[in-house]
Amino acid sequence: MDASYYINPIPAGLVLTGIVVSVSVSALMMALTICLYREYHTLNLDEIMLKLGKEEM
Amino acid sequence: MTLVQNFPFFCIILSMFSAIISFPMNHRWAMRVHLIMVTVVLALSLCVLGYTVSTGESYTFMMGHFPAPWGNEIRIGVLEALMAVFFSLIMLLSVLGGLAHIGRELKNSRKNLFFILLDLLMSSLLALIYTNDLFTAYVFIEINTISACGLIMIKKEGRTYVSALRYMVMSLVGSSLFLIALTLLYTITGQLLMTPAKEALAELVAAGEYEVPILVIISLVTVGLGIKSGLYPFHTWIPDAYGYTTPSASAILSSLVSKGYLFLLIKIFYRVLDFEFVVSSQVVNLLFMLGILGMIMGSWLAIKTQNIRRMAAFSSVAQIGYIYMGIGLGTTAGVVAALFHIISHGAMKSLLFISISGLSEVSDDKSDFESLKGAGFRNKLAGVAYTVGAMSMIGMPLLTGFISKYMFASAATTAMQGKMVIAWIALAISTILNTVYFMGSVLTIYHSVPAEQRKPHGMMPSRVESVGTVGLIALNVGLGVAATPVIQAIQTGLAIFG
Repeated sequence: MDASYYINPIPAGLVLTGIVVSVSVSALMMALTICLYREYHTLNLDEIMLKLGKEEM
Repeated sequence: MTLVQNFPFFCIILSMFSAIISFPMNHRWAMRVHLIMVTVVLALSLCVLGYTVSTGESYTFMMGHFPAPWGNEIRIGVLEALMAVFFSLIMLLSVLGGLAHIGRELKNSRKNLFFILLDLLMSSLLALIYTNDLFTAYVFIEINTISACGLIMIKKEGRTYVSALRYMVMSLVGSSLFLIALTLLYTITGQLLMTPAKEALAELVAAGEYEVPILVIISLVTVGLGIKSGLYPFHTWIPDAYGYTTPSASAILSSLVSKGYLFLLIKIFYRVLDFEFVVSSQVVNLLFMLGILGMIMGSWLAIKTQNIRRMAAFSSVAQIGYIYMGIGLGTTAGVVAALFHIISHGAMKSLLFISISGLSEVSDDKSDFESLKGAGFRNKLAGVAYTVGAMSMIGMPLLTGFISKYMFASAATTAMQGKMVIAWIALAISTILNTVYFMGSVLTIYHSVPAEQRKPHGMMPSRVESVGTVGLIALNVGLGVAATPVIQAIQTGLAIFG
C-alpha cells in the first residue's frame, strides 16, 4: 500500500484532455479551411486577403 | 445544505443539457428552449445572489464524491453570483434585441446551431465564474473559444471565415500559454484545485524556492488570458470578429466572451497567487502600461474608421484597456472599479451593437457613416438607444459609464503617486477621444435630411427587438442611478473572494 507503487494518474488525465481539445479544435479549423477554399478557390492567405480587399471596394 | 445552494450547479447542467437537446429540434423550439433556459438561469442566479448576500460568506460545492484536494469543486460567493446575474441578463436582452435579425440573416437549417452555441457559451461562462479548479477552467476556456468561433462565422460569408480564422489562431495561442502555465503550476505544487494550490504556493514562496518558475507562471497566465480578452497589442482580432456577424452575436461576443476570461484572471490573481504577491512581482505594472496604451490607441483607431460597427469594436479595445488599467493600479479599489466596469461595459456595448443593427436595418443594411445620415429619424427607438449608449460610453452622469469613470478616477488616488497621475491623464485623454468619435456618430445619425429620407428604407424594427432595446436602456440608466448596492456587493464579494 506504499504510494510509490502507484503511477500518478493526473498527468495522463491532463494529456488525454489536451488531446481531445486538440482534436476538436483541429476539426473546427479543417472545416474552416474547407469553407475558405470553397469561397476563394485558393488556400494562399495573401491571395485571400487581396480578394477580400477587392470585395470591400 | 439548503436548496438554494444547489442552484449554481443546476444552472451549469441546465445550460449544457439545453445545448444537447436542441440538436434534433427545429429552430423555433431551439429558440424557445434557449430563451427559457436563460430566463431560468437568471432567476436561479438572483436567488443565489440573495442567499449569498444574506449569509455574507462564500461556500464550496463538491462536484462528485471526492472532497478537496482530490475532487472537483465550485465555489460560490457574492461576486460570482453577481456576475452570473449580469451575464445571464445581458445575454437574454441581447438575444431579444437581435431576434428578428437572427430570423432574417441565418438559414433555417443553421438557426438551431446558433442557439446551441449560445447555450454552450452560457454554460462555459457560468463554469468559468464558479469554478474552483484550474483544469476545469482550462476545459471551459476551450469550450468558450470554440462557441465564440462558431458565433463569429455563423453567417457563412467570406469575410466571416477570415475573421474566424484570425480569432482562432490568436485565441489558441492564448489557451496554449495558459495550459503551459497550468502544467508548470501542477509540476511545482502538485495541486490543481485553486485553494490547495494557493497554500502550496505560499509555502514555496516563503521558503524562497522556485522563484523563476512562479514568475513565469504569473507571466504566462497574464499574457495567455490577456491575448484572449483583447489586451492592447493582442487586439487585432477584435474589429474583424465583432464587425461582421449578426447583431446578437456581436453584442454577446463583445460584452461577455472577453469578460469571462478577465474574471478568470482576477480569480487566479486572488485565489491561486496572492494578489499582494502579484503586485510585488511587477506584473501589474505591465498590465497598467498596456491598459493605458489600449485606452488611447483603441480610441485613436476608432476615430479613423468609417464603418460604425468597426468603430464600436475598436471602442471595445479601449474599454478593455480601462479594465486592465484598473487591475494594474494594484489596489483593491482598482480591482473593484475594474469589476464594476466589466458589468457596465457589458450593458453599454450590447446596447450599442443592438441599436447599431436597428439603425443600419432602416438604411439598406449599410453600416458606413454616409448611409447612416439621418438614421435616427428613420428608426426613433434605435436612435434614442444609440444616443443613450454613446452618452454612457462618454461618461455622462445618470448613466452607468459615468459611475465607471468616477470609480476609476477615485481608485487611482489609492495607488502610487506616479500611477495616479498617469491614470488621470490617460482617463482625460481617452474621454476626449471617446467624445470625438461618439458625438460625431450621434450627430451623423441625427443629421438633418430631407423628408423623404426620414422614412425607413428597408425593414421595420420588430416588437421583440424593441423589448430588448428598452431593457438594455433601462439597465444602463438603472446602473447609473442605483449603482451603490452593486458596488457594495462587489466590495463584499471581493473581500471573501480569495
